[in-house]
Amino acid sequence: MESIKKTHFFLALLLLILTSCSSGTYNPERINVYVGTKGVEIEFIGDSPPREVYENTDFPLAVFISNKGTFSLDGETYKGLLSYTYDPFYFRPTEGTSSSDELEFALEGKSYLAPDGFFETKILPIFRVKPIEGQRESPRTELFVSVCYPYRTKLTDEVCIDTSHLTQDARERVCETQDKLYTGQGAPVAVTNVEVEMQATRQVMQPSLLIKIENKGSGMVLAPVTELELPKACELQKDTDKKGNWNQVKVTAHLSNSKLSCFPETVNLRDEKGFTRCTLPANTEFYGGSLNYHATMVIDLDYVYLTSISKEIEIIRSGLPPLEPLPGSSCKYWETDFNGECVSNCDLCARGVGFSFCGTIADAGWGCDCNAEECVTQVTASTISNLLEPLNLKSGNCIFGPGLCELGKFCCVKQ
Amino acid sequence: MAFLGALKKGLGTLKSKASNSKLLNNKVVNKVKDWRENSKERKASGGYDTNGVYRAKSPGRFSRGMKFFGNAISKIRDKETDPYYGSWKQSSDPTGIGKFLIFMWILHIIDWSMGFPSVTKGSFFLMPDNITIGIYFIATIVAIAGIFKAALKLSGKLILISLLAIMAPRYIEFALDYPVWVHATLCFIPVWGLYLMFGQYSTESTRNFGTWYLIVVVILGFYGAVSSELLDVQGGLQQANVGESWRTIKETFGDNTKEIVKDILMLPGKIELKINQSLSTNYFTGQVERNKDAPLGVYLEDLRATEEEFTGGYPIVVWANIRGKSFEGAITVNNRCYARKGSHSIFGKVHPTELFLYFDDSRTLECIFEENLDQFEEGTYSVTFESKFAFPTWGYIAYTFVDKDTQIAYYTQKKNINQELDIPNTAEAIYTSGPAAIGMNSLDMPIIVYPDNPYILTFGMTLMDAWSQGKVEKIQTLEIRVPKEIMFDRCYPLNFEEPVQRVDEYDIYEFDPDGLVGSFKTITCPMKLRDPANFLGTNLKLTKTFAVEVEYDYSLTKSTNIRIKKY
Repeated sequence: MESIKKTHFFLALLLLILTSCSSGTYNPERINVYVGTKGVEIEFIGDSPPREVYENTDFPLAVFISNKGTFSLDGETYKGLLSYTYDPFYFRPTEGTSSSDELEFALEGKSYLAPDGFFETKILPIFRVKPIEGQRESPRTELFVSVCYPYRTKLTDEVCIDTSHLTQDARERVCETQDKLYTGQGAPVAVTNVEVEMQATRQVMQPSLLIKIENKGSGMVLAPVTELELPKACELQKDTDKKGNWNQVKVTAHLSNSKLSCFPETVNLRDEKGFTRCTLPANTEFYGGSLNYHATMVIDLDYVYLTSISKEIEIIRSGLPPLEPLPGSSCKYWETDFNGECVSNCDLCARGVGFSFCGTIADAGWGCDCNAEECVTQVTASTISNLLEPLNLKSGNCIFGPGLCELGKFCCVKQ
Repeated sequence: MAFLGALKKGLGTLKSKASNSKLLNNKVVNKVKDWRENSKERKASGGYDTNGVYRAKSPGRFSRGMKFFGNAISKIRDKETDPYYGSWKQSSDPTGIGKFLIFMWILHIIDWSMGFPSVTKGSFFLMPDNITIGIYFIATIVAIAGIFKAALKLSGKLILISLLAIMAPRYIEFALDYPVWVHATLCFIPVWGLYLMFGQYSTESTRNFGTWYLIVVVILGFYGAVSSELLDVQGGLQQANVGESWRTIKETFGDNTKEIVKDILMLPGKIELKINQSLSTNYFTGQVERNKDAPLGVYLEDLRATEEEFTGGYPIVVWANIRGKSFEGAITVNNRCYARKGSHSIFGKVHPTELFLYFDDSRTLECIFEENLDQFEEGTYSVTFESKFAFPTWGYIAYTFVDKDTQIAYYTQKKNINQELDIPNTAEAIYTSGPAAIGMNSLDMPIIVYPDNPYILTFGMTLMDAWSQGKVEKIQTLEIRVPKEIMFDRCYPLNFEEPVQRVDEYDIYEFDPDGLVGSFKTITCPMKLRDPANFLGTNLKLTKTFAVEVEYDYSLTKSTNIRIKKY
């Protein structure tokens, strides 16, 4: 019995070993890079810039740029432009760390060799945080970075040229005309739909493609440029005539190496979408009598694209404020600034300025004329005069208190 | 002829129709009149519900309340009458209750005005003085024999009420240590008066009078308490005397009322201010920056006298805490203090008269009256600390600019440019905390730049008092910092001084503060771009901060009350 069990165990083990072995051939997985709706992506690297910075310190601004689309920016004809803006009230680029506010870049796109595309780290200028001006405790400001680049969406596919209307052939057809739907071609502006129509004119089939396009990226389509203008594609965008042409995409289509006429050639995107109709020109020779066949369709979309990011930064005071007194009135505590001059409060009350503490001082005769002894005499005399009214003793009056005259003097009226 | 005949006939018909309709009219009118009269009566007494059933009108809340109160009194009286007397019911009703009420009330006022005199005041075994005992004794005899013609048990009750009238106020004052407000309140609580108004033998007229008396007393009491609280008037826990009580009553209902009336008269102005602020019709507003710890500025706090009551002839000392915070340097504060009663002011010595508050600093101020004590009379004085200091307040606002074509491009794409480019919907004006507030023109954003037109919107700022416990005495400087790409052609109503200084990336526009008048000082300046075509460059948007600096002398005051008693 035991020997049978052992046998079964070894047989099972052998079976396991045999099934786990594989053959020497390897079938690589085919990766299609012409998918997705991303182009050139940009992001801040980690804490650059940081969320909080201290005044009178420096911080670097570094961004990570990656080309996640299929089109390559070669740096000569096609090159991207990185620009940044900041509030000069709070920041200043450190001298020598940047030549301009714009930086050109070139990046290759996705390919079979690099299915994720290429990337680059751009160190923008080092920024100096200015001292916080005024009494603000912790102001907030924003750093804004944008990337502009010319790009191309390329769609290559097969369409069926259906000649059945002409040939009336009863044999089994190779293909049938059908509309094509797409999600993305590895670029922010995508061809989403191609409707194929076969128009028969006399004995010739004239294929017509209704091409629908859509901005599927997170940025903005700018104005298209000519081939000659390509090296300055982004700089030209600030021109007024170019700005009036924003949200436009140039469409080029070929069918079996024959260029199609597209109308409109430059598509205006409305609500991120647009379409054009491309047909074979009338003078083009085309196949009329053959049976259905597949033809290669190539659609190119040329445009200039813009992506941007921003980050809010809080500025923190770094140290204690200065110890010097704030500039202000030079008047002493018994004085008040009156028309640019420090005047004693006694004199001001005597002039009729209605301070709350003036009290009975309303007579022009009052002034800081009495010292302590005189003041005591004045008060005593006043008290006596009230008692000895018939004797008609004339006396003045005096106010004890430090708030009206300088030290040692008292506000009084002498008679 | 035939025509005339037909005409006549027609006219006749018309006439008869008219007279019929007149009759009909009259009938209708009378019907309507009747219906109105009836419905008036019905309205007065009630109305018809949805089912057509007539429901008598129910009395209003106030009358229901009064009736309930009256019923409650009646029930008490009913309860008292039957079980209390049994077979000892009165043979005749008491007479002269109203006159007796007046007499006892006057007696209470006399006792009160004498301060509820007691031979053993301060001792638990209080013994009223002889006069009080004598008067109440006579009053009780009059009540028993003359007014109520009372039997034995009722007599006992009346004697008990007299004892209560004598001893209750005295023991209340003793228990609460004779505070002024208690004595003042007891003026309005006559024991005999309450019994005669609401007790068993109250008449219709005394009850009505009593009801209204209670309402008035409650309202006055509430008013007195609230007004004192609002105006931060210390009630005074000092030993009471009649004069002080009169003064308390006068202050509560006299001075407090004056203050409140003054505030009420200022209310339309304050309401207008608030409305204008919200409508932004006349001037500009902003948000104060909340500081993480203490706010910026100078504050007088915790004013307190060293004694509850000062004896005449002895030094008077009052303390206060002064706290200050500034990011721009030490605050120089000049202090003084004075006591005031009516129009009479007495200056005290304050230590220190001048001090420096560094960053976030606090000190203690001491106000001493020792040289002029003879000027102090018995009574309540208001001691005021006045601190003068120079202080800067800053206002900031950040505007975001966008090209016209950029705006149109986003608009045609039905994209919200504010969301796409992280631009706030309106510019937020922020000013630093302190005695003054700076408001600025909160424009809708982004501000559109036209390459062929240099004029953009108008910059505006308003300087306002932010604190109520002081005033801006003098504005020393007023400056507006403007990005160098933007300029002011001219400002209104006050123009800036030339030449304009350039510091770093900013131009500083200075104004002569003497030209600013009124409580709210507003300046508007149309903005102009120096080079509109190249202002934005290749940027989608640009953010520029404007700043306003105002330096001013501020006078801060805070008061507390002290009481002086004769030596």
